[in-house]
Amino acid sequence: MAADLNDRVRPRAVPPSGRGGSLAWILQAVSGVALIVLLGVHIVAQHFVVKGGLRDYAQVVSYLSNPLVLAVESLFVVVLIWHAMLGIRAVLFDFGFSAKTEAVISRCLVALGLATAGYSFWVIATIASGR
Amino acid sequence: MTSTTVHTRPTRGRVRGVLAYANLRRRHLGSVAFVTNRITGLLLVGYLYLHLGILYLLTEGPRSWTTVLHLFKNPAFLGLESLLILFILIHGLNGLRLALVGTGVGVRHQKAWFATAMSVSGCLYVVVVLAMYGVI
Repeated sequence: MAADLNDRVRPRAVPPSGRGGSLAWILQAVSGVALIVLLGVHIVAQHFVVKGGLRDYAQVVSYLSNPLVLAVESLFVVVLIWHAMLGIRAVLFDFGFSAKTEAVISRCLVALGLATAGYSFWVIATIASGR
Repeated sequence: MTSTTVHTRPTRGRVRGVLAYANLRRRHLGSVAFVTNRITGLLLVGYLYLHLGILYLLTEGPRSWTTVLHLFKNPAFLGLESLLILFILIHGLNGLRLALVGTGVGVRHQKAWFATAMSVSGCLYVVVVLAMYGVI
């Protein structure tokens, strides 16, 4: 079994091809590199430059009321969810479903990603408005 | 990287495939790194939804957020948060290695890349933990 898994998961020198695998892999890699920057900014700005490591309510509202911060945090959310959904898709596809099932999985993950992004933007907008 | 060679695996074989993720015996370093990235990625997705759920409290005003801030400052909770940082470091640096190897950069040295990624993750993790507990 271990040998079987080794055959299936051994890293390749090139991205997998066929049925959008290559494009998905490239998007996963690009969004991953972008996340290193965006997550770094998010963690440093939200936790490491703040006394005590956490912003209180007023500080969070003040921070998110800056349009540049709002844009960066929104971009972070989009890239993060994109990367996460592609990651879940890749894990599920590892287990050899039929093409039909893979198509259903992809559609479900698009819906889950859109729902997660919608919820995230609602949270960000509500906090930024200070209501 | 996704395997697209087998698409009609029987259900029992698929379940064995899932269980094989946890079997680290006779595994190539490359596949250990691959499975490590998969597992840390799934843990981080779980954390993403937990984080989004907790952020809902911010929409309810200062009182509920202040309550949760007390929980976040608990040393035990800080320990869990430090594990999150460790998973992010491992997933991020190992993922960067996978992206480089996948695009043909340093394929022959992928074991060294992996060792470097894990070493840097370990060092940064120690620094972050010391910062979290106010030692530095």
